[in-house]
Amino acid sequence: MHLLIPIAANVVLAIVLMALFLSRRTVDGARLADGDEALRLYRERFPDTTGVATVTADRQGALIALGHGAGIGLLQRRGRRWTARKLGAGDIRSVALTGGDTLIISLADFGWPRAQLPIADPEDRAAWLAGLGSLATTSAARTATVSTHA
Amino acid sequence: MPDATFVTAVGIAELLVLLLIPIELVLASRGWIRAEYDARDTLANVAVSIGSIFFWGSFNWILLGVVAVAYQHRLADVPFTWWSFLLAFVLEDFRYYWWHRIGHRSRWFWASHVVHHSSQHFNLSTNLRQSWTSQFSGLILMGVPLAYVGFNPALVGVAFGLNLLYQFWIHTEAVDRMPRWFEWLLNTPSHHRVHHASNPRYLDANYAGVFMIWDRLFGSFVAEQDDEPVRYGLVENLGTFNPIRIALHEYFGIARDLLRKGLTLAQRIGYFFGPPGWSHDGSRGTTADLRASEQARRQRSGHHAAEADASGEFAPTSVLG
Repeated sequence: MHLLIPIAANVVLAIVLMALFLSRRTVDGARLADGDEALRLYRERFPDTTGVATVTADRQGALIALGHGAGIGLLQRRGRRWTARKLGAGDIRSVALTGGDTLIISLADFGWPRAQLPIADPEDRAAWLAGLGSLATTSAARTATVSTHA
Repeated sequence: MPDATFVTAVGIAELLVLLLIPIELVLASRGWIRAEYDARDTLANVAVSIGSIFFWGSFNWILLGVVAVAYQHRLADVPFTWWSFLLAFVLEDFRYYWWHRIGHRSRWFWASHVVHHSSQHFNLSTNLRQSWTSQFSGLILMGVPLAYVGFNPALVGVAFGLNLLYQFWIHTEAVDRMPRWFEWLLNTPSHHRVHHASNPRYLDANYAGVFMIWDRLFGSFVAEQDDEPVRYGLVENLGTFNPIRIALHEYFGIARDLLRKGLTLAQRIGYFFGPPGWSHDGSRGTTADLRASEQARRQRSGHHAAEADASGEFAPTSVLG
């Protein structure tokens, strides 16, 4: 019973905040201008990164081919901010293609379980599918990736 | 015992401060104050808060029981007077400093406290993003000493409540700096922005609840620098607004590391109790590692700038001084 008042207060607060966000139509919409901007944002977390970035079709994410075989950089918008990861062997559970152009990456990370990345260019998409698949945790996942791609 | 009306007043005050959140949001959206709200981030804060209240309230008996046993075996009876209350407030803040410092320096305890730092925004609603597991980490034992010495647990409880109440207003970008004496003595929005930063220079600093003197005494004070804007959040930020994932992600990270094959017992202990970012192969970075890399980077860029200066090349640092 003693929990009801503070929980109810938080529920009311959530409703008020939702109403305010809706009435003010705040846009949580950062977008990437180009690959250079993606690299710049990625370097905020991994400062010495060199590589080439592919910006997603919705400009809300990027995949970065890190130099010297250092893995793959992942950058994705989270509200008005950006989240970055350096993906190596074992960091990806599986990767699949859906809707014709969207890569769905299942990550071995409870704090970031899934990334959805539409890639417009078919060659880029195929290359990333293969690259990400090569980092997938299990051989079964790698096989699934290849067959999805095929 | 503290007056029941006073205890109730502290509780009501803690609820009333919630009103400041929509006020800050509205003022910021009109451009009158500096604050940034993101809808999903803010609503995730409230959802985490509801979980935190549930778990804190449901398992509060663990803390109360431990403190009650300590108080039963107390060394002395500290009288309930104005000076004993002030003393309890200061000592409780000292306890908070060490509780907070341990919560940042060892991964098992960090797994509980990391929740509060997992937003990439910093506004009054960030207060709400609190741990779900604080009753289970073991740090509740830090509530024992004051009760064992002889301070009435209810008195300490009120001091704790006021401490938390004080910390509400420091989660804001709307206040730049307080007067110099205030910044020296007390925790302020500026000091707490540093505490919530992920920039290597600012990591693991400013643990104070109310009195900044603890950080100054124990070497953890770092001042906010105008030339280095704070980046809020974690070194490895979350890719989710799901409150369950926010509340529990680090425990899953610990489990994943502990289940790795081929580790020695010492390495497993390192993953459990070592500093956040510790890894057996050095593939991650602790605060010390990140600071060292950052310092080396600054030295390199300073060196390059000096060389460019000598050769007459353009270098931003030579322009900015």
